[in-house]
Amino acid sequence: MTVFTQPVTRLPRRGVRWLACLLAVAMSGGAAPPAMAYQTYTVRSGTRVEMLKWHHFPVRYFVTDRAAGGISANDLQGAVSRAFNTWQGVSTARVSAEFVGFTPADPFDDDGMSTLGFLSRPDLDRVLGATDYLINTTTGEIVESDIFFNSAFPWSVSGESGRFDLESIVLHETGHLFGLGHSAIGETELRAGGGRTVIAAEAVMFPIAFPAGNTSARTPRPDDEAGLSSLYPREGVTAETGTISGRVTRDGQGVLGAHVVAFDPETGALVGGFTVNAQGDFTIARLEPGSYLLRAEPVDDADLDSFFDDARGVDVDFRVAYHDRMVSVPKGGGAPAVEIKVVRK
Amino acid sequence: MRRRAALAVRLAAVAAFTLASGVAAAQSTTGKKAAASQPVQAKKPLPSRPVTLPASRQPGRPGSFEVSASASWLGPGSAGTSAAVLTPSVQDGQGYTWFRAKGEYASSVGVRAAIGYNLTRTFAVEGAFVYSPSTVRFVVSDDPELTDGFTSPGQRLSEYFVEASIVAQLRPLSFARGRGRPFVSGGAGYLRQLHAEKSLVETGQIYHAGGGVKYMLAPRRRGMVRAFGLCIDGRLNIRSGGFSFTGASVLSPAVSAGIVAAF
Repeated sequence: MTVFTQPVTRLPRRGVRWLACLLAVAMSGGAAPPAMAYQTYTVRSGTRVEMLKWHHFPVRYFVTDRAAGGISANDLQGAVSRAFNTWQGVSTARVSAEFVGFTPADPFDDDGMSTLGFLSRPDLDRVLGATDYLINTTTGEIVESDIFFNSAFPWSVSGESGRFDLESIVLHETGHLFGLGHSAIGETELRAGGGRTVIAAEAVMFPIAFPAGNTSARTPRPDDEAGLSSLYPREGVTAETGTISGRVTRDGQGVLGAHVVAFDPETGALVGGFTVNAQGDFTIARLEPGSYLLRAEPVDDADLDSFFDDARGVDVDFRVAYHDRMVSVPKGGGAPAVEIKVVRK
Repeated sequence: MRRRAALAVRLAAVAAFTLASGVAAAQSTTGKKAAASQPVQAKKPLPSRPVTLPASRQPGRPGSFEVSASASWLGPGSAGTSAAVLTPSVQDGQGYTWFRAKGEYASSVGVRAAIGYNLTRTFAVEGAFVYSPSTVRFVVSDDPELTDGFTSPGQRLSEYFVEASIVAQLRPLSFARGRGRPFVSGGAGYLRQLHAEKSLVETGQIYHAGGGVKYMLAPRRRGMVRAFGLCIDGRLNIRSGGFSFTGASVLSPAVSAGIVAAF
């Protein structure tokens, strides 16, 4: 469903494959922005909105049995296993995955197996990998998810210079597999030849990869952890964490698609969310109790469709702004709703 | 005659010493002898009201209590500076500073109530409660997308201290025949901060060190209250564990001024 790109942008998404035996009801654009911190997907079923997530664990997955991109099947399986273990190690969430075995099948086959492997897609010259889902459109349950890594690029499992770090990319894509969308906590700059180069990021789920040879994205950041635990909260975590909600407005009107980041000055943690409707409403959940600064910015460090399946109406015509008060997040509750006022550029 | 005069001077010196030492009870006969033996001094008016309280009613005596109520000014303090740092695209490179935020406590005025117990003429223990409606604010800088920076208007943070202190009277420095009693003090306590929305409580410790002076006004010969007086003190407060951008302790000055009643 989402893709991970190399220095320059994202790529055409694979559409969501429908579970044929179920009644297909309209999906909210495929990738509706988050109801909680970070970015997650939702599916609309009648009047209900369901989070796109796995309902049963462990997630059973296969790995393709072919070497590609300079990586053996065993090395690929090792990187995949480490990435799943990393997600399983997020203390505030509860997920698990189980390696079933190697398979000759390709990723993105509708075969009932969640398969991770290489495909050679030199035509996708800015795409390092992609994830797609098979979902139950009534319940939002993910029933199958495949990931492909583009063997047109050089890969490494040891952080070799000039090669992309497979484990970092697997971690990003398996984040999608669990239902996470893209994070916007990062800075990029435009490249002369088009596209963008990432300068820095503070989320594994930032849509643009670090350069070849960089292994920094092997560890989830607070934003990633908040996203995962919003989907799969460990027992008790709801009572231990809190929520900030509110709206972003300009001239009294809601701003759609604003990126709002909560910053905890004491821990340095950054957790983001987006305004999800014309009223400019946002919610950032799974925050550690404490005082937060809120920063609102337009989404301008990657293409809008890296974050929104339907970017129409997304407003980027405003300046960065801070909420004029620190927001106190209590345990197990929500801070009073805030309003962040922005002005046009 | 010369011998009697010498004795009188010696007695006067003793009286002066005891007053300077904070013992307010000079014997009236000593005062008379001193006045009689020194004609030059006798031309001066006598002290308006010599302190003649019995030892059992002297403020500051061992085993006695003192209660005070003060207005308390808490000075500004830095809550530290924190940076929002992103992981750089350069492996092992220096973190990319997205923006910086500096936290500040603004000065505020609160109230302080204390009760002290005099262990000896020099040492006392004191318990105090302080309430201060403090204000905190933050200043954002180094945000490349907001070059002007941002300063928040500030928001309320209700602070409560429950303190225990050791007070040492500086007896050699007392003045006004023992009515003025300088002291130094130090102690620690419990810090509780309640954010404006009352949705978050932060707790920690408060440490303080400082000094001041108590000046006892006219002593009372009867009643439970032996004397009323004025007190003022200055101190350095160290908040630990409360609101801070870095988790580090916050230093700020404080001054209290009020009234004291000696029992």
